[in-house]
Amino acid sequence: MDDGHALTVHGDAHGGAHHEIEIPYTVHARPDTGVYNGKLGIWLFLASEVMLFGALFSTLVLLRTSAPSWPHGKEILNVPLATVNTFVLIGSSVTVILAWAYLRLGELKKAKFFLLMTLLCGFGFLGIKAVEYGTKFSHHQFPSTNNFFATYYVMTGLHGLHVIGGMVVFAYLLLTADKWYAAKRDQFTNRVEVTGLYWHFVDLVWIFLFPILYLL
Amino acid sequence: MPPKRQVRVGNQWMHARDAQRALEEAIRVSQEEGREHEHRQSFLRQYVFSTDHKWIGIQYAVTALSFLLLGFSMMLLMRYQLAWPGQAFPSWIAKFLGQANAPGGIMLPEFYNQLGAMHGTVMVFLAIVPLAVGAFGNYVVPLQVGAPDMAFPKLNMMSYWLYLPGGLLMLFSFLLPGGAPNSGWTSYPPLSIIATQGQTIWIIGMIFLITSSLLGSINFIVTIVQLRAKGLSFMRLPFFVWAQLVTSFLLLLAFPPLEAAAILQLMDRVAGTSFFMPSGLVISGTPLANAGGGNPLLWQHLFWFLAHPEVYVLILPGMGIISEVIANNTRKPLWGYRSLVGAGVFLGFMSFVVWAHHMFMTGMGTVISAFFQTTTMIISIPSVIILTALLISLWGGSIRFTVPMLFALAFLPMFGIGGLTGLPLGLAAADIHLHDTYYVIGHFHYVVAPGTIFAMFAGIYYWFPKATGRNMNEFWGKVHFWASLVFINGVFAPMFVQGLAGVSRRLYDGGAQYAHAKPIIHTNVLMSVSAFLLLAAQVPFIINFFYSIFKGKRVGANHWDATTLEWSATTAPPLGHGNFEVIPQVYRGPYEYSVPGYDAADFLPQNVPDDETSPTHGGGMLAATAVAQKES
Amino acid sequence: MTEHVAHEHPADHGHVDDDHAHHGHDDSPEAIRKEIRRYLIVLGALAVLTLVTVAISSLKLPTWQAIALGLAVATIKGSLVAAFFMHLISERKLIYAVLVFTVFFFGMLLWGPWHHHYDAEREWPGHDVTNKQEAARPPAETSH
Repeated sequence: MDDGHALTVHGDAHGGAHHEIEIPYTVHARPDTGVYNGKLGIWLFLASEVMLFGALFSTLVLLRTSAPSWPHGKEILNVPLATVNTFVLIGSSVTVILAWAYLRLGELKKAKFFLLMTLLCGFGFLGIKAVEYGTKFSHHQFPSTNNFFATYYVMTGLHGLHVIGGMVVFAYLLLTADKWYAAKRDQFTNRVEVTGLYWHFVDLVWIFLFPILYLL
Repeated sequence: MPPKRQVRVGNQWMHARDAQRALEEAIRVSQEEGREHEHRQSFLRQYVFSTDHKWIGIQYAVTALSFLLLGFSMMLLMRYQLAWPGQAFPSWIAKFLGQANAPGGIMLPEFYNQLGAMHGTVMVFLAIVPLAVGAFGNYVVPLQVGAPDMAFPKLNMMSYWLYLPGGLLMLFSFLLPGGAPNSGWTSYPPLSIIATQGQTIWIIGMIFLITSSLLGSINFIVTIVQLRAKGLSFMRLPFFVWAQLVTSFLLLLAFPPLEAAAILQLMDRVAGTSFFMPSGLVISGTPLANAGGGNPLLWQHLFWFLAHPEVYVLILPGMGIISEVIANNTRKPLWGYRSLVGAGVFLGFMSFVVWAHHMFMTGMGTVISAFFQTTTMIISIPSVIILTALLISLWGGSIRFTVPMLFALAFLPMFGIGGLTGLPLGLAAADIHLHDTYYVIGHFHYVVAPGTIFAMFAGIYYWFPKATGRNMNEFWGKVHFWASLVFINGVFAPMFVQGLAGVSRRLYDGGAQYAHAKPIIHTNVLMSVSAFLLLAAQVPFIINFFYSIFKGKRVGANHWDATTLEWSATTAPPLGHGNFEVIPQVYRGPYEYSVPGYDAADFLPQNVPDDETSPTHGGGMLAATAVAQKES
Repeated sequence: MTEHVAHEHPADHGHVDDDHAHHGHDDSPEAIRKEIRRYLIVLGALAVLTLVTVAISSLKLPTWQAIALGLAVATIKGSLVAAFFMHLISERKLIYAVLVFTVFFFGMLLWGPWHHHYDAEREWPGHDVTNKQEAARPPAETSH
């Protein structure tokens, strides 16, 4: 075949240095769905998380309504500390969305500052939780003590694990921000947005956990 | 008008066959150039921690088929015991099982329970779903939607590398003191809470597998929604892709409650909590020291909330495969495509609201019992619609009895039997008699074994040429089919008889100690012998599979003359990094076979432009390919 | 689902020209700064509502009212987070569809186990003998 240009050949099967396959709609939204891949992906993940925590709420509802007696959270748990934690988490939700907004404004330094604030809020939340748990353990209040404590520890514990998970990702984003922002700014902005969505969900779970476990 | 069978390439006319050869040559050359650069990717990155969906699909396939064989072997051990209770195994098997499991070669009831729990767990979670979704889904879906790979290739790699360790961990539990999990694949408390160490391994293994599944389901949904090629609207998708889409939604939303329940069970086992442990339990005369106040039924709810949608996860991809094979081998479009899609989506939705039909015998009140009975009856409707549409699709078809088609044809009545026998189980009154009997085992095995597994075989024979560029041997494929069909019915049909007579499931001696089992106890021998013969029937398949990879007859890129993108827009394997030399664009539905007015072939691939008789590059070349292959 | 739109969107090569498809928001600096102000307002509302939640719990309300009110306030707070921080208020139909089904299944999950217990208790009052934090006694005779 002499006319090499007769074939219109696209695709990645040849070319220079090995490069990753380019997946469409990683950064920019697909027109008919209106979302980019990561946005859809994180919402799907959050849907599964709703079901995960849903099972625990279902557990609480069943065990509590069928129990002959059930202590009131505010008599046993530390409401002031948990209230502070609620403010901490809500604050961290604001800081992460400010980080994303400043990225879109092109102000990397401010964005990194707010990412750092988010991370610090996370540490604060975990610190307070550690104090809470520690106090209870010293009073011999363990998950095995009764189902009130079992549900309290499992629900706040799983939530805490999710906080840790988010913090790991924020730390990674913070450490690699300069490199990513310079090379793939839009994709980095998306990653912050997507992680922020996860973080807001973690906040949302706490917004329900707080009154249900501590106040009722 | 151009001369017949000639296409224009560049500024010259050439015969379609020459054009096809030229195209393949050009692609081969550019692939070689690509490979010279590709070798920079280390062996680990390319073959172990691959992010290429095709290779990951093959990893899943090999792993899942190995687990399938393992799960089958566990069942064979059980069936030996059931047919000849208390009889020693042959010495070589006895030695392998060891004194702890089979002292003197005679299987202990404890070991029988381990095999029972592991057979179910392995088959459902380590074999069928990874094969149906992880292998077939991964390999085929991106190709069928015209995507270069999955939406998140690295996530895909992580899915596999959570599946394999999770599975190996589960198997490892056989070596622990107390052995493998032995509380059924259903792991009901309180038994599972006080069970041996293996149960903790089951829980941890499940957490690995659920996480793997979660990442995978996100990947599939985003890929199908976001990466469809231009022109590929939802109603032009192959039904296989629809099936995988619904399946992924089921996995996404139904698995997390089981993950939560697994965590709760783990806490009960290792942290002494009482989520599932009621007060006042006494075990062998000793009251348990836990706080109590828990509810064993809570586990059942959370487990079956997953496990019911799970059974639709088990069947839907199979239905998808059968649909592809039937359309292709009847040379006509599927009948009722819209009904199929609607029924599939409705089935997925309904699967979330029927779960407590597994709990009719747990002291349910009449209101909730009636609710679940009603939804269960309703969910039979979409299944019937799908089966009927596939059956009607045969009418007026030009049926090619290829090996995939044989399995697809057998699937229809086999799934019919499986589905119909589910109806008495869904009626609470009849379930009183049939619950936990062999009738149940017969029912679900008919759906999964001559149902789904036959669909898996159909898929393997069907897509083997795409993955390897060679065809499996037809004769031995037919031997495999007929022998499997006969013996698989021999294994499972008598179970309905046993169940109706009242023989319970999970009995170590197959019912030998019960008077009501006496009249039909001999069927245990029939079933076990059939099972061993079924194993023998797989031998030609296994040999055929591996032999054909290396020595099978070489075939073209579209061996079956199919219309969907994986056949018509890709070249013969090995497919390169990325899937398509020419990014496909879709112009029509997925099953345009025997199109009136189109005479060049009895099929019109999705990506051939409408003006394909005129000399354009892409369309001309590909129509030429279609024509040329028909001649080869 | 919508049919594929006729106009072609190029595969992603880092184009910055079609930002309206990016988030469904206006990406001009003024618009973003307005958004920032909105976030801070929501923050204020959430802080106030948190204090309201705690205040409500100090009123000695009967259990069901306390639960209902507590959940109501939590739902308002959660809705603010979802609508404004997670941009649900301006999200795509696709996302809404996923969430609608999720919420329905979440509801089924919450309802099922509880209703099973409730229905059985209605039919056979006192049936749940083991869950009474007492020593085990022989199961009561039930007539079903």
